[in-house]
Amino acid sequence: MSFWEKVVNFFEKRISLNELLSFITSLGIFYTPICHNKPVKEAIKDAMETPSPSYARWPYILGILTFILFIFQIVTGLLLLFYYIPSKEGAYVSTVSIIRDKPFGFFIFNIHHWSAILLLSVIISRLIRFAYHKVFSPPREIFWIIAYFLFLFIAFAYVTGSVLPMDAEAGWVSYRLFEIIYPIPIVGKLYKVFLGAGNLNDTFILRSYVFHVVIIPLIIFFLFYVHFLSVRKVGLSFGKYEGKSVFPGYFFEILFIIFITFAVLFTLAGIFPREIFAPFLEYKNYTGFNVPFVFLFFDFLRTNLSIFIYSILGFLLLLIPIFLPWIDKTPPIPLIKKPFTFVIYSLFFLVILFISIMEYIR
Amino acid sequence: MIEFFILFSVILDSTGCFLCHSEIRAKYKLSIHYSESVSCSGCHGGNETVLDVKKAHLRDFRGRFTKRDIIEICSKCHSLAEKMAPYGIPFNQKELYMMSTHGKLLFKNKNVPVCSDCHGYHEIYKTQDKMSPVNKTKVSYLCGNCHKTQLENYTKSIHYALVKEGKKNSPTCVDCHGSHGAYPPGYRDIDKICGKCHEEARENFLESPHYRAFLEMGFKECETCHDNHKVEKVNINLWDDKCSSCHSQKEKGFKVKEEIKSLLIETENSYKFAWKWVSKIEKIPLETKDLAERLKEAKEGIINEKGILHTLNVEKIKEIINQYKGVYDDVAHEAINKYKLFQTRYLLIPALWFLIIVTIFVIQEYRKRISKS
Repeated sequence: MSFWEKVVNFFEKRISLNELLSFITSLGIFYTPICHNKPVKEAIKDAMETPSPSYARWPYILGILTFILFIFQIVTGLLLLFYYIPSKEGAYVSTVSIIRDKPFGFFIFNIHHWSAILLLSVIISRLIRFAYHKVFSPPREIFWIIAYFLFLFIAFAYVTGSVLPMDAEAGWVSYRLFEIIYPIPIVGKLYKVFLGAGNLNDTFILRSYVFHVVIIPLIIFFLFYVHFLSVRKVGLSFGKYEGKSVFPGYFFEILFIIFITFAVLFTLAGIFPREIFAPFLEYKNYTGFNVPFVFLFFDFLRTNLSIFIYSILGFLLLLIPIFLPWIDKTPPIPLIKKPFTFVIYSLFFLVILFISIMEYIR
Repeated sequence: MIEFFILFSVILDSTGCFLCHSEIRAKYKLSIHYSESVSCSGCHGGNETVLDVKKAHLRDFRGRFTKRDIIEICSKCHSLAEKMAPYGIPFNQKELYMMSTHGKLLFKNKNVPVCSDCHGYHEIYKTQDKMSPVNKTKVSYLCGNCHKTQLENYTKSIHYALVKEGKKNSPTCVDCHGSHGAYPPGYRDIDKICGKCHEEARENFLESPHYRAFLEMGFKECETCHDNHKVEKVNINLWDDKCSSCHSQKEKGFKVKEEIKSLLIETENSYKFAWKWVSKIEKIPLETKDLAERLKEAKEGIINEKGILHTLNVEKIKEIINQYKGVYDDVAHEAINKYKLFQTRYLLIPALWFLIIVTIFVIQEYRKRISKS
């Protein structure tokens, strides 16, 4: 018996390794269930030999990309955490110091920045794909709801994260976001309770920091876990398994996706780094900045509608998607075969996209 | 009960006047006279310690004053050295006023201002108090109530912009014309007034060929080029606008102007170029504190030395301006070098892609072997 086998045996007699493994893999790694009754070695072998669909193709890649980008966020975020100081004076100085003076700080910071943008884009694309392929049909309502809440929490992480560098852009964005979010009922009040009334003081930064680095990541991990619990119960939405086993097929594909994602992020970070502006001054007028792209549509509504209509419309826009599985009960066939619904969905997404682009250009 | 309230309020205010004149109470309580215990009877006379209306208004009581009265009443205290000295307030204000243009017009013009027109009457604040109409930030508007054209011109000036920014050295109306002894300066006095702050410019101007020419031709000194109330921020167009109005293209003066102007444009371009690079690398962000400080120092230096332009001596100007231009060029050079050094990081990107492609290729081979076995 080799050394490692001895170690595994030692622990297997004392703790339920299967459950631990099942939990870890449920955080987004692979959906295949792990048998709790067999010895761990056999359970892993069974899981590895289970046929698995190929994720490395459009649009199934979106789910695994969300997880991979999230892991990149966790890793780079942890590295940034070592030197970041969450206070009004320390935030800007420490951010500049991380980028300028710490080894690879420039790339770590900018990979974190670009990974956030890509993560948000991927989760939005995933929602659109879920809508078009009607992944929310029974029994997979949970998939849609979790994807939607993932989108909300990732957007919230984006908001709290964009405040942290405390340069001119971050300060401007935090004020503008408060104006956008506050009029929306319930959400706005929660935002005010948890993050404060838009005053850029020490406690605001500290609260944003706690949300960004502790609370939201935990919630996102929890959502991944619940999503996988659901997948293990009801199965994946695309049933055509190609006979490839989890190992080596699935594992190597994921490995390649990780490598390529890293290379893409590294390239984006190197060529288009986030510019660091001068420290934010509260009484200065700033121009030329834009709100984060997910809020461009809401910003458009806020500036062009009365505050009452905006608050109601904003609330409905946030609330209705949660109930989509019960609103749209048409049979689960791809939307392309149902022109009327297809046009309505497309119009909805295109209008948001068009207005967002126009707002960005303006 | 009512008597008790009356007594209480009298004790509180230490005067009975406000029982009837309650509208004045709030204003008066904000004034410097209230905090320095100048009572109503100090100016108006009468007896403020009695509660009977008739008795209170007996003696030497006067409710309304003429302009002449106001000067006499204020100077009752403000001309006394023993009363004013503790506060550091000059006690010759009445004499100054009587000698000023305002004082001379006192009996000829109804609109001429006296003490209360500028300082207020019941609500008189300290001059340093921002509520005071004679405070540095407000005094130009006060003068502008009558001198409207001058105010309009002044609000377009660099002096006004600097006062608004909070620069204490920047002049308002009273800094050039005086306050109590206000008078319009004669055309030979302008260099002295401007020279109070722009000393070097004045000295250089007196050395220059312009000084003698201006004397002979009867031009107003600084005002001819810079205007009086509407002193604009000096920019490069001033050379074209002002010089060309006297010098034709064939004259020597015109050539001198062209030389100085091109030198200034060159220097300004060097500054802009250096600043462009510094702000570019600052956004990455790279360390620019030293470079930005050097640029700032050189810019301040060149502004301080700009008085030398009034000599119109091309060699002298070149020598001084080139010192600062050299700093600009050095800073730009260093900033570009820093950026080039930073750009070497881009080599990491193809290196990483190469590494990843090779790794993927190796893993792919390994995967094939596993699949076969």
